[in-house]
Amino acid sequence: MNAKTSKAVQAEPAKNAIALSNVHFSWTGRDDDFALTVPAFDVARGERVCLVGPSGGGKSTLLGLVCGSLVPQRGDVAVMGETISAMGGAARDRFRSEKIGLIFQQFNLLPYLSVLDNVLLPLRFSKTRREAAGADGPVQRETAKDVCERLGIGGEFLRRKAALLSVGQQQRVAAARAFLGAPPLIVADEPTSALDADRRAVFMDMLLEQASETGATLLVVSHDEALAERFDRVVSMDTWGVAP
Amino acid sequence: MIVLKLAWESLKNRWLTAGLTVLAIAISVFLVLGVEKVREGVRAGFINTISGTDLIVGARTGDVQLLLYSVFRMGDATANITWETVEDISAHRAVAWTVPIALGDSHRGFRVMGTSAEYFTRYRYRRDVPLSFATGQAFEDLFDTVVGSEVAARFNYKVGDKIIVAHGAGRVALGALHDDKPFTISGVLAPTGTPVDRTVHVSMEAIEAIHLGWDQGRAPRGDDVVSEEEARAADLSPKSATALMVGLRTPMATFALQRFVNTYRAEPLTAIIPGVAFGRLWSLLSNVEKALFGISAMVVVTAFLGMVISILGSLNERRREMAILRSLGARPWQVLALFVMEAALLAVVGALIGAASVYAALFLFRDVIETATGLYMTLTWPDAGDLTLLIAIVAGGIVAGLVPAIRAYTLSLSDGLLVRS
Repeated sequence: MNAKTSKAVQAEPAKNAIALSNVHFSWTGRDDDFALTVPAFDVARGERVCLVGPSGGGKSTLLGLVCGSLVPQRGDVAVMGETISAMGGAARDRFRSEKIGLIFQQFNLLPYLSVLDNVLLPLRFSKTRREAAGADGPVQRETAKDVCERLGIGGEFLRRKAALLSVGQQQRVAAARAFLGAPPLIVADEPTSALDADRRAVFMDMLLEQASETGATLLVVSHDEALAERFDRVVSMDTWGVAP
Repeated sequence: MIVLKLAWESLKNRWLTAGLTVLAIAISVFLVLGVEKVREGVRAGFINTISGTDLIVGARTGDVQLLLYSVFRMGDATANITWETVEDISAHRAVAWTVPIALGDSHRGFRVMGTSAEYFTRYRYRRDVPLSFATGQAFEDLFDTVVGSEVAARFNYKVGDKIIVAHGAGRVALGALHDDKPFTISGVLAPTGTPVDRTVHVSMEAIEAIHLGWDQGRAPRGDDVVSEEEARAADLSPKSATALMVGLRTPMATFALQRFVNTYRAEPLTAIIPGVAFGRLWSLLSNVEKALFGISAMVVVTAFLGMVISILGSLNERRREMAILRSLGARPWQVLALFVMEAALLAVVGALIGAASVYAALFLFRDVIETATGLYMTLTWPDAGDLTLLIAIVAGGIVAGLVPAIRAYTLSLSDGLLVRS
């Protein structure tokens, strides 16, 4: 593991937000028979980590493993102290809805819902996050508005159809949604790749700041080394076994 | 509930496709329910062609055949009944009234029916609606005639017009005309939606009068010809009738009198209870009913096929949407439910619009339909049959919706959170 550390991280697995050990995953049946091997990958709670690697380097596969949409053939994936690789599909879905806020590269929003409804969506699938966001509907809406406000979205934007927003605005809404209900882990898959250069830094700073404020663990995948500087730690995937 | 909200919002977003799908479903439901309503209307109109008459008596024949020629003017009687028999039955203590009818002649394709003036007050249709005159009155003079509304409309007849009756019941008169004794129209009946509209009514005596001197259906020649004046002077009391409509003092006597008639010794007779014979006749038409229903059911299937195609077509562009939902923790079954819910919404909205349109159309055009076709349709609240039909249609829509839903489910399982965008 090639770590550009600002903080030494070598804690016991249960204390880690993410802990992968001896993980091997392959897309059996896929033509190129892509496989990813991760001997060890740990992220401490509250840590903000940037994972860098070339395109096609298995980043999306790793996120799939961390988010529980993929299950490794070998090895364990533990998130927030729970071994999700041993869970069933429904349990992993539930776990994801409770513990993880996910931001995609783009197209994060349901185009037919308003911005506010998009932000409120995770609360519909998770009781924990619903309770964390407020006792009842109106309170939850206020919380959602607050989170949006902090990410620079407010006023009439909240009632707009998500499809009418610019890409930059959409990404901020996606971030607000990821943070709503205080999930302990925020995972972002190249969240700035659809943005123009000067917005990337602004967005990334916002993301880091929110993570610090809420105490959430932040795992960002990026191929943009320039943005990596701002993180507690940068992990390169170069040393991981990627085949072919 | 989130699934319902998402399905609704998603459909609203694709309002054009969704709207057209709903329209197709609504049209199909309109058709299937409309056909059902017309069928009920036809059936009710059919059964209610004649009411208030307890028995119809004719020469020994089949129930349906007697009904066909005595009420629907279709086909011919194999034999007549003698006037002695008519009088005998009329004198029976259970009998309140009798109205004889005599068939066999025609006027330009319409049947001519001899009867008594009492016919116009005794005949009832649609439970208890009596005949009424649009213009004029019942026949008074020997050569007066009362025509049904359709006859009058077809030939633009009005009171005072003279018409000629042809011998025989064919659509085309085969030469033999009673043209020596023209009739004067004394009245035109109001439309009823029954065969009465297509009937030319004359008195029993007139039937005797125009056949004076006729022998076995052959027109009289030379000395046999009887002039109008001679006819008026002759004894015109009826010798026979084709059938006899019988009203009873009490319906309790129906079966007793039917037995009396069916076992009548002087000549072989058949007595039918109209309602029973109608039921038997209607069951002969049940295949037509089934065919109509089958066709409209196929239209519903086509509409659902359209719905399945439209949802399947949207599936690819919505894989992104499914991945987002999955990333938020939606279970795959919730993705399945989302698509089933969409189909259910389309089916429910389509069914409601279709059903509402049928009832609105019934409400608005009932009178127009009755005037134009004589089809009398009742406007009632949706009955159990309608509701069963609607529920079956919605259930069919949901089943159809499972096709794209299961496809979405499998896509969602294989895509997970990763969609090539």
